[in-house]
Amino acid sequence: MIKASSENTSDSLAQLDKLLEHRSRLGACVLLADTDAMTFTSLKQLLKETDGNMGAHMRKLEDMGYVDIDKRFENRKPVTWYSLTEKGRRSLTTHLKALQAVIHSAGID
Amino acid sequence: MQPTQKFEEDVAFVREAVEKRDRMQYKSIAIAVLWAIILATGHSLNDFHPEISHLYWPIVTFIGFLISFWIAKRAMRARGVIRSGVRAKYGWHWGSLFVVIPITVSIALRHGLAMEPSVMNQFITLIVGVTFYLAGLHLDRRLIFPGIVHIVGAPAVDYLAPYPWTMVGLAIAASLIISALWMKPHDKSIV
Repeated sequence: MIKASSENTSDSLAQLDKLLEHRSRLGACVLLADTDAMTFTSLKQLLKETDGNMGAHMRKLEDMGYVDIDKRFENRKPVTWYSLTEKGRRSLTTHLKALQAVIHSAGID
Repeated sequence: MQPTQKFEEDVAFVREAVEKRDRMQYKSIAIAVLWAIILATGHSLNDFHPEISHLYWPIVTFIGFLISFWIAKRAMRARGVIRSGVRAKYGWHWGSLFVVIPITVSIALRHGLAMEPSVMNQFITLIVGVTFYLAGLHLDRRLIFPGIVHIVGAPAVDYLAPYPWTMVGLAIAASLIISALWMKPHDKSIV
């Protein structure tokens, strides 16, 4: 029984998305999941990140095709809008299911 | 640290960020002031120029509805969060009035209920009050108080003098502005 539970946990751990293991990248994807778009500034403030760190996290998500980026000028200021891509949404769903399974198999929930 | 403990902390962190975003609601009182003016003016017309109030309400409230959406859309962009789902929820909620009120009036007319225009206005005020109250429960709790004032105001018209509708209209306008200024915004349902 214990062995089966341990195997389940390892299976779930294997399904976790490395890119989403960082809380800020996970948070950015979750926040974007039920919005059409959010600005870099609002994501940074909500996730309590610095400009540099948030920029690095978002670049990784963009490189993997998880987020789309739209840079525009609003009131003469550059504003960067992010939205979650279909690929990002699928990866987030898989990651969250695996996360739930890990927490469940550890008997925490 | 156990992996599960880290996951739990990450989930708590993300949940906090989501809750914070949901609390970041539009804080300007522009929409409240707009509706305070529309409702106070409309109700006072029931006392002073009842012959044009049936034209005022559908036209002005529809324009007010569109202006409110425009203000809210601009505010969302300024806040850095675009959520068409939230916009749609507000739209369906308030838009329902443009269906329910004509249906109520048509049922009354079809069954030959010889109501005074003022009595019909009382029923409509009650419907609008319930819509405000439900919006307060499910969308933005600042709307509960104006909802209660509408609901109390509808029957109170029978007992107020000399300008009952003007008094109710001013009370509704005041409740909208007081709620917008004093109550903390809240995106989430409180039920």
